[in-house]
Amino acid sequence: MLPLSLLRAAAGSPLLVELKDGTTYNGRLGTCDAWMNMNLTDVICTSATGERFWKLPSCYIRGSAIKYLRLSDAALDKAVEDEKEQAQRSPAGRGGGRGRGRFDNSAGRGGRGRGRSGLSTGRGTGAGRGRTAAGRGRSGGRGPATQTSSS
Amino acid sequence: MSTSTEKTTHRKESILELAKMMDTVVQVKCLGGRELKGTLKGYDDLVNLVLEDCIEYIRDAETQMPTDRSRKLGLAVIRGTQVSLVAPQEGAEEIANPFVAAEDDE
Amino acid sequence: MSSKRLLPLEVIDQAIGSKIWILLRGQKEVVGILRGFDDYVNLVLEDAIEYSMDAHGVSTATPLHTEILLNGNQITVLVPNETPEGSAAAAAVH
Repeated sequence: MLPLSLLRAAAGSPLLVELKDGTTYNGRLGTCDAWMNMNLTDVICTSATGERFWKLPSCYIRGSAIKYLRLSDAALDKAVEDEKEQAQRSPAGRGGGRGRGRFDNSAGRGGRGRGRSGLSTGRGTGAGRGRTAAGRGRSGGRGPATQTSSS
Repeated sequence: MSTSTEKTTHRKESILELAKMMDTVVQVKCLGGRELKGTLKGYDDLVNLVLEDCIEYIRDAETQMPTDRSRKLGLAVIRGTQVSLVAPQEGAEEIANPFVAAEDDE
Repeated sequence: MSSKRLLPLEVIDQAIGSKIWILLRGQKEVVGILRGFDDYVNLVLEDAIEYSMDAHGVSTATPLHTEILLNGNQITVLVPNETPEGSAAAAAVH
């Protein structure tokens, strides 16, 4: 079973998230995505030292900030069930093909440059963002002596 | 054609519903420990945020715990790549230890 | 409903030409005049000064070279038209 499938099966159930900085969040899982970003509701946040506590009605947690998750047994049971259902529905196709996330442009680029034009070469090609002098970027290779004789 | 069982997100849509939080006060925690709070005035797909009247909570040097001291930043842009948590401030509060079970052995 | 939504990169774009205060991931800050930036929010800053904030909020200012490229990897917060001193002064008033 893939981790993200397990996570998706846990939607609606309580879980504990520990972030890389040691803070923990206990709450109910709402939505989650292919990057393990998630929305939690009715959250209790505990400081890394374990001394201070906060109540948050809801919060969004970045997947990349997570150290680990602890799920309830109910979530695991549901995940196992879901997997069985999937296997029954498509006996030939393994579950492995699904959980890979979506290989659309967003994921393929490693999370950077999402939603921007495909040509992010870092030259400020994003239309006039204060390129100083050398705005030429790529087209400068022509040189002055171009003769376009359109006979 | 993603036929997942549960909620499938569309490609470019973030699951974080920032539209709903517009013009409300949000708390943002960043990688590296910075904690900020401000009124959400704008955002984009990458979860870059624009916070108005933004303040940064100053952390204790040793414990790295947020203190009551803060400093005013004003209109600030937060980098989405550095965001670790976003929470609406409404209804948020510090509480006493909620996990202490009533385990009095009496 | 009320005001239109501000786009973060537009706010940065509007700050080109003026002073900008950058908070980096650790306890470092940089102030400079924003000359430009790219899709990854790497910045070109002029007359940049680097501040190292120590435990007691005391900062050491180090002027850098005239024009620098600040790598966007560690940039956490950008505050146009503001500086650490300005912010502290404003706080003192209140």
